[in-house]
Amino acid sequence: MRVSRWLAVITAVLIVGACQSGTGASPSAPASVVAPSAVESAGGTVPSEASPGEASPSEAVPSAVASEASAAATTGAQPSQLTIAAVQGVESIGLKAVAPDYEAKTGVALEIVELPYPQLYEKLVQTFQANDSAYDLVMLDDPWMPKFGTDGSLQPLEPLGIEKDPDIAPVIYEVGTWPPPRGPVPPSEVDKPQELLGITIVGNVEMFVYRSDLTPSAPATWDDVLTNGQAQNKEDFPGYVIRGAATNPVVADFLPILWSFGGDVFDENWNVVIDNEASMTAVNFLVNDLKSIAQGDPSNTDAADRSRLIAVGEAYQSTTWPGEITGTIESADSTVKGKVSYIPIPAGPSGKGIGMMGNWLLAVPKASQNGQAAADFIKWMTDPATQKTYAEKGGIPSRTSILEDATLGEANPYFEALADSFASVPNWRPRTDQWNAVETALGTHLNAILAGTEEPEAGIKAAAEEIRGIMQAAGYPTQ
Amino acid sequence: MRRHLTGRYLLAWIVLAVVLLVYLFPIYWLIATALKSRAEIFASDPTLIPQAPSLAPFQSVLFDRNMIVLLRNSILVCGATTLLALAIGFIVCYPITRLQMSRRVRTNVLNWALSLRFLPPIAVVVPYFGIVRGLGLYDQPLALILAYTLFNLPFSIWMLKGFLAEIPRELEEAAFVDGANRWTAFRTILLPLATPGILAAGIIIFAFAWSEFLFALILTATPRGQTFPVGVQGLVTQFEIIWNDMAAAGVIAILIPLAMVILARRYVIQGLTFGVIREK
Repeated sequence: MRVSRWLAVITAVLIVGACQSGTGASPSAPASVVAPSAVESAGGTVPSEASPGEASPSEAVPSAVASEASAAATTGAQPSQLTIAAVQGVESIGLKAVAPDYEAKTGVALEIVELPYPQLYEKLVQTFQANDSAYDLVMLDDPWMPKFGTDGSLQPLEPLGIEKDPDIAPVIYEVGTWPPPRGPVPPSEVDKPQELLGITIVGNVEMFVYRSDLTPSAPATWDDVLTNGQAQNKEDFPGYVIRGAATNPVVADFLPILWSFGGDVFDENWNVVIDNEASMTAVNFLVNDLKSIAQGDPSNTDAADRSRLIAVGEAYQSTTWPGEITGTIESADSTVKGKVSYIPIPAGPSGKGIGMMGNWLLAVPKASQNGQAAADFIKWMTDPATQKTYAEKGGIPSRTSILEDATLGEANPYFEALADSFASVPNWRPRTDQWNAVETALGTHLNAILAGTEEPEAGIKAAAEEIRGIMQAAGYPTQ
Repeated sequence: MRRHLTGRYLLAWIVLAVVLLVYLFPIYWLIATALKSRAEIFASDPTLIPQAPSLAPFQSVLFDRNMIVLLRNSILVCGATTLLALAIGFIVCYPITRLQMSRRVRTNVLNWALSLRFLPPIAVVVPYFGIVRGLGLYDQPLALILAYTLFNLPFSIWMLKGFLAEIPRELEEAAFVDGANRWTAFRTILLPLATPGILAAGIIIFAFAWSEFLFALILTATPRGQTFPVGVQGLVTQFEIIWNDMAAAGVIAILIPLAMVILARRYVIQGLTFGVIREK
C-alpha cells in the first residue's frame, strides 16, 4: 500500500514538474535571464506584454503565421524577453558580459542559449527549416550566410532601422549582405536584391602571432616566416604550428596562405582553380616548407592544441584567430603574455597578405516574433558606448575607433593588428551554400597530404575533381 | 596443495587488481582532471595527482555555466521516464502473467515489445521531431519523457514480466479467498513482493535515460528543455576544450546514478538475482 501511494505521488510530482519546467515558468530560469521583477527594482521598466512563460519556443509558429509575425515585428511591440542562440566559447563572452546592461536599461531580459559550433549550425538549420520562433536573434559564423541568405531564413535589417556607420569598415557590412556585393555570386542569387541580413558583433579576422621576444622584427612575408621559423626551430619548440586537423581546421589555416600566394579555390566564374600553378605553390609551401619546421603530427592539431602550444611557450609562431588570443594566448594562464606580437597575415609572392574573415554576426530569423526588438538590441550592441564596454569585458569588437583606442589597445595587444586586417580588406570564404561540402572535400585531402597518406599534386587534383562535381551537381557553371 | 591454492589465489588477485585498475583508472583520471586548474592542464607533462586541487570547475559547471538547470531537467525527465515506463510495463505485464490469456496473444505482445528495442533511434528521430513540433512539445521535457518511455518500454516489460512470473499466483489466490479484490491483492501482495524487481528495473531504465543524447539534442533548443548531456558537449568549443569543466560535469553525471545504485544496492542485487534458484 505504501509503495503504490509513494509511486503515484512521485510520478505526479515528476511529470507536473517536467511540464512546468517546459513552459519556462519555473522560478529557476537560466542565470543569463534577469527576471522582470528584478529589472523593475533596478529602475527599469517592465513591459506589460507576454510573460517569459508565454514566450516559450514550444509554441511553434506555423509557417503561415510566421510571415505575419515578421510583419508584426515592425510594430515596435516590446517583448519581455529576447532569446539569442549563441556559439559556446570565447566568441560569446562579450555578449554575455553586456547583456545585463541591456536588461537594466530596457527591461528586456536576454536569454542566451549557447551551443557548440557544429551543433549551433545544425540547430539553426533545423529551426529555420521548421520556421520555428525559438530564437529572436542568432549568432552566425559568416560562412553560413550563403546558406541562410539563399534559403531566405533571415529578416532584412535596414527596414528595421539599422543604418551603416562610417566608423565600421565597409567590409564588415559587406560580409553581412546577401547576395554578396563582390566576388562570384551563386547563379540562383544573381537577380536577388542585396540586403543587409547580419551585423558583425565579433570582429574575427585570422592574423599572425610570433614570439617577438625571440625575433624583434615582424615577418613581412611568408619567406620571412619560413626563415625565422627555421632559425628558431628546435626539438620540442617547433618553428611553426600548423592547424592541420581534417576539414574546416586545415582549410581555415590554409586559405590565407593560398590567397597570399595568388591562388584561390574558385575564380570569378566559379571555375575550380585550386589545382592551378599558384595554388599548387601555396600547397607545397604548407605541406613541405612549413611542415618541415612544424610540430609533430600536424594533421591532428586543431585550434585548441595550437593556442596551447603558443601559450605555454612551446612554439614560435602560427596563424591565429582573435578567439584563440583572448581565450588562451592572452589568458591569465599564459606564460607568453608580453612576449608575443600580433600582425596581419604576412605577404606572399602576390605582394599582399590576405587575412580571412570568420566574423560572428547577429541576425534576426524570419520566424522571430520580436524582429523590431531584436533589431533594437543589435543597434544598442554596436553603438560606440556599448562597444567600449564590450571590449573592456573581453568582447572582440569591430568598430574602428574602439580597435584604435590606445587604452583598450594596451589591454588587448591584438587590436591594432585586427584594425589593420580590416583596413586591408580580408577575404571571406567563397559565398556559396555548397561551401560546407567544398570545405569537407578540400579539407579531407589537405589533411591526408599533411599526414603523408597522399601526394600533394594527386591529393589536390582529387579534391579539385570532387569540388567540380559538387558545384556542377548544384547547378553552378563550374569547369 | 596449500602452496598450489595460494599460488592460484595470488594469480586471481593479480588478475583482479589489473582488471580493477583498467576499470577504475579512467574514473580516477576524470576526478583528478576535475580538480586541476587550467594552468596545470596546460602543462606538457600531465600530473597524476592534482598539484593544487580545487572545486572551482564544479562551481563553474553548476553555477557559472548554469548547468544546474540542465541537471534539474535531467532528474525530472529521467525520474518521470522511469515511473512512466514502469507503470506502463505493469499494465502490460499484469494480464500476461496473472490472467488467463491465449499463448498467441502473450507471445505477440512480448515480441512487439522486443521489436521496439531493435528500432534504431536514429531512424525515428526525424519523424519524431515532426510529431513533437506538431504537438507543440518542441523544447519541452515532456517530449523527452515520451520518447525515452517508448524506448525503455521493452526493457521495462521484459524485466517486469520476469519478476512477476516468479511470484506464485497462490499468494494472490489466498488473498482472494480472504475477500480481497484484484486491486487490493495487487497493492498488498504483488507490489511489495515485486519491489526489488521494480527498483532494479527502475534504476537501469533511469541510467539508460540519463545518458541519452541524440533525442535531447534534436528535440530541445534552450535550457528550458535541455538535459545535462547536451550541456556537457558544449564544453568542447571551437578554440578550446575545457577539460577540467568537462571532467567536473562527468563526475556530476556519474554521481547521481551511482548514488542511486549504492542506496538501493540491496534491492538491485536482490532484483537481479530474483528467480535464479527456482523450485519446481
